[in-house]
Amino acid sequence: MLLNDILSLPVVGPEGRLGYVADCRFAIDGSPGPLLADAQLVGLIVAGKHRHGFLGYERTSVRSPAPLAWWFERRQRGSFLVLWEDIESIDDVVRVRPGYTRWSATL
Amino acid sequence: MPDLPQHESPGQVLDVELHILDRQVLDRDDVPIGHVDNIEVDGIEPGRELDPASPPVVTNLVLNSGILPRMFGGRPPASRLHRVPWSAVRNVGTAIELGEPGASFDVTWSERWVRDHVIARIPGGRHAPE
Repeated sequence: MLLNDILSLPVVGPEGRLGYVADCRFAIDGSPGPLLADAQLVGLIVAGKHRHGFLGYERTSVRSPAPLAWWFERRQRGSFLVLWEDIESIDDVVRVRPGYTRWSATL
Repeated sequence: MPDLPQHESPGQVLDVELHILDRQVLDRDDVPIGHVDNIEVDGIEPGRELDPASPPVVTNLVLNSGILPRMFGGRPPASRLHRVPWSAVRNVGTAIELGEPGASFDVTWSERWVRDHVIARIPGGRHAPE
């Protein structure tokens, strides 16, 4: 499956619509490979209103220039990380399991 | 966001849009061979319940397949995607560095074609400049 098909999909939880898939988070911690270990999906970044942030700028520790940091963070306020084990299915929408946990989206 | 718990993952953490998409790809000799347009993963079957114990893994980076779809819509057929296997990736930094020469990937076929069919027919085009 191509990841661009997942980005921007709506995310639905037990209480209704949660937002949109803004990004996918991977960790290079899978089975060892010849050069790098496998990159495993950790979870999906869910943004409440805007489907796209500014390429993830708002998730980093960069805080300058301050007006831009404030603006991008404001656009993506309320975004959170849903871990893979809390995702039930992916088709036209991403469905989240009941009792899921919201994790901070910051890196 | 600050009051949410922070998830700690072992290993290097990569957000696809922030760290991978549109990054330049360099071969073993630091020669640019393209940029990442998409990522292919294994382990997601649309519409079926997902296995929480088996997270998807990246199988291939898809290179240089985004310009025409961005202009005209749609997507190239799967057989025409230029794939670079994740096993060939050596490092992910400001650029994606590979551990193999660019000639071993299909994405450089156009350069090889021009070299063999155009440059090679120019007098002196079959050897390095002296």
